[in-house]
Amino acid sequence: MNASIHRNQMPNDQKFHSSIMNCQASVSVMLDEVRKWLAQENVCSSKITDIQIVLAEALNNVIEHGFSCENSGNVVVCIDMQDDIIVVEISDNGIEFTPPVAAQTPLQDTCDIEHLPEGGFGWFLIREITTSFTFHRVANKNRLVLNFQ
Amino acid sequence: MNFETTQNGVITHLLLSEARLDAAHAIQFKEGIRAIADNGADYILLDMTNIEFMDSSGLGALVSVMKYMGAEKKLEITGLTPMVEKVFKLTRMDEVFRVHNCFEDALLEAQNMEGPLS
Repeated sequence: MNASIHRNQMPNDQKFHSSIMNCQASVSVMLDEVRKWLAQENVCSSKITDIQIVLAEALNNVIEHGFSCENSGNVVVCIDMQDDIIVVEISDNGIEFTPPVAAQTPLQDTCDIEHLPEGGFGWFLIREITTSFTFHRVANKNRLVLNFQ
Repeated sequence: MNFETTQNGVITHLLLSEARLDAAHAIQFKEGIRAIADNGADYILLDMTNIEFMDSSGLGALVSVMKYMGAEKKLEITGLTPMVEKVFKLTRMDEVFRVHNCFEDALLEAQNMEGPLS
């Protein structure tokens, strides 16, 4: 039973699983649920803040761009703790999506107030805060995996 | 988006009453502040003490309102909670917005500026 010995420190029940319909109002409900669960698992507050920022951006992105009408789809959030890494997985049955490649900060040195960007901060924050992330399109679902170390 | 406004000399102190400035509140927030600017507020000090959570839509709304105020009017910020401060720093918006430690700092600075200008 090597496998069970290996998992002794990380029992199977140390997982979060919850889903919402695709509507804006449910994002904060999910974020609250995740925040409470992470606190209960003794995750430190700065890591909880990081996960909240990234999860909000990723969920907003799915809700804004993933579906043609509200409350027509399903967005699932799973969290798994693997030693010192927290893995957050978001999957949805919406329109096929590819994360933008560019990783540059939306704010350029030469920016004057009139030309300041009002968007593009979402993916920038996701890239800045996560240790890494991967995206897959599998069986008509988008699957975004975010790693926090 | 609920907020309380108090006039202190040149400063319109605008305290956001909600706990979130996010995608769900961004449009209301923009409309609310624009209305206050249209009503003659030349210097809005936005107090974010109650904001426990801000996402990129909230940040975009702040930028949008600052642009709306233009060069003649001022929008400055105070009361950054740790989460909001983190988003400001990561996106380098702390370099774009004038952020005061507290309302009193901003008031003192405005009073000092008023003397020679008037």
